[in-house]
Amino acid sequence: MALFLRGFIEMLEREHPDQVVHIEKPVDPSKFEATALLKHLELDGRFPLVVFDRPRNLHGEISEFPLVTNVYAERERCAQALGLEREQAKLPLSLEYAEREQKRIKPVVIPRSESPVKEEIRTGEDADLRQFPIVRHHHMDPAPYIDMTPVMRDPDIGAYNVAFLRNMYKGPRKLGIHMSPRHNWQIARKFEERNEPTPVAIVVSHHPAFYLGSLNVSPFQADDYEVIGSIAGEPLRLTPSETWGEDLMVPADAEIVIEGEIPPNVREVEGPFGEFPGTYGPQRVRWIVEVKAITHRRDAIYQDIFVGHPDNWVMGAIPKEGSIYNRIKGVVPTVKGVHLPSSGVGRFHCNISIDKRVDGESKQAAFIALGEVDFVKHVFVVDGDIDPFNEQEVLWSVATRVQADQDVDIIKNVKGNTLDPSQTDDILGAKMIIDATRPVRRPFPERIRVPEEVMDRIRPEDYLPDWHESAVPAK
Amino acid sequence: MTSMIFWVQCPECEGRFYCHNDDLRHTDWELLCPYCHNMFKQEESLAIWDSASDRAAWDSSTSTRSRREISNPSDIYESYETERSGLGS
Repeated sequence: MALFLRGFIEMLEREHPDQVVHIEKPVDPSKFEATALLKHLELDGRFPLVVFDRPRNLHGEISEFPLVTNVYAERERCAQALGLEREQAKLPLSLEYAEREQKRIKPVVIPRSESPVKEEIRTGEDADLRQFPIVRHHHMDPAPYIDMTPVMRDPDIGAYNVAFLRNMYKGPRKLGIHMSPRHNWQIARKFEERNEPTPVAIVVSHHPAFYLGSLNVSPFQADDYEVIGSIAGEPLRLTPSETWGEDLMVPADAEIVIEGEIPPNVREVEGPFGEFPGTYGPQRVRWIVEVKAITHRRDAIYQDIFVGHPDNWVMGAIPKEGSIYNRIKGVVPTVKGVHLPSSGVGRFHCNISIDKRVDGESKQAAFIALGEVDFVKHVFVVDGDIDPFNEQEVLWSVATRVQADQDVDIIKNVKGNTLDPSQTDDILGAKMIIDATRPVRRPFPERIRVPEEVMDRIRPEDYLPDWHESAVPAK
Repeated sequence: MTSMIFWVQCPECEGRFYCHNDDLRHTDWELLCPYCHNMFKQEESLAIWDSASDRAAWDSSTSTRSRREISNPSDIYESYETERSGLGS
């Protein structure tokens, strides 16, 4: 079975119609109108997948491509994207992701003639980005941005790398591209050292399992197409690109792929751009992409991430939680859960719950989290009676089980993140461990509780006429 | 205090934005105003606030000017139309 974005949306509409909102009136995403509606929904506490049925393209005309966004703003939808039940959206999702991440499923190759993404092929002057409803997200963004995943291929070993990178619209066949010193950056540098252009294929729209898979934290030079296949649970179907043939394969089931080259030693200013921390990354000097071809399905859907919002944070957290949990489990077997909450932008904060048996275990667990994922900046270790997915509970634990002079550790000059707005150095930052667990070796007050037997005997529906199951907060 | 960024103010529309220190401070690069798409040298900026300069001077530069607000989407769209016909094409 192939992975189709449209199939995922149809499944949601069939089984969970409340999860999908259609905006039928025309909106102009390049004028912030799409993100304005998403922000209104967010302020209302609603995070559906949103389909803009009649968005305007960059010519200001109704685009032939509907715009889909906010796909990842709820963990339950992410679980469904990987074939799990909505009820498995917390730790089971993270652990399943981590397990699949360790395996590989080799992609299969299908001919161009059978590839949905090749139904329409536009090259030369016809490869015009203005046909798409490209989204300008936040007020300081200088232009609309394509914020999905460029694919590059390591010129030495041939491994593919897929990663979310921001791509600034600069003209009908030109984009600016921002790369941090991570995997894609290393690939582009290799090509540049040879004074050769870097081939790049931007996968603008695909099944959400493709994008969740692309966030894997596998080592550099692991083949992302193989890892994504494993995380999606089936092999990716690939087909030769228009520009480089079999030298750069592209996902056959994508909705839209933009092929281009990053010319060596060419830089332009790019940004500012509203980034994942919820602040603008500064204007920088960055690479450009010269667009060579655009291929898409005949009735393709254009996809976007609402960067700097739950759509961006939820999906960023899931791939990291399972690997952190598994690493901690090897040293602190009583670990109960790990969560990177949206309040920490799905990256900077890590909540760990453990059934601590020995003082010091909490710090061991925290060190592992910091070592496993360099995004993690502040670690909150709580006891096993605290749900790491419940931020109220975690902060209650910090409020009542922490003495700052005894339970907080700060580690200076550690590799941080260039987009962390609080860093004063491009590379180095500080990490913090907050041990909000109770001490093992000294008496400590007990948490209040209503007796369980009375809780079980006194049933709310017998006393509250309008009581219904949906009013019960999730545990 | 060190900072990774410096703020500038566009001489054309007076909009404010920031740039990366290592990439752009004290270089010949022309900066791109994200609001009106004017390209300008940082020396032309109406004010600059970086690690070495005084916050008060930056603040006063706004208070003495009747800064044009660029937050209206239609204004931005007009600017963007300009870009469509020029920048990077």
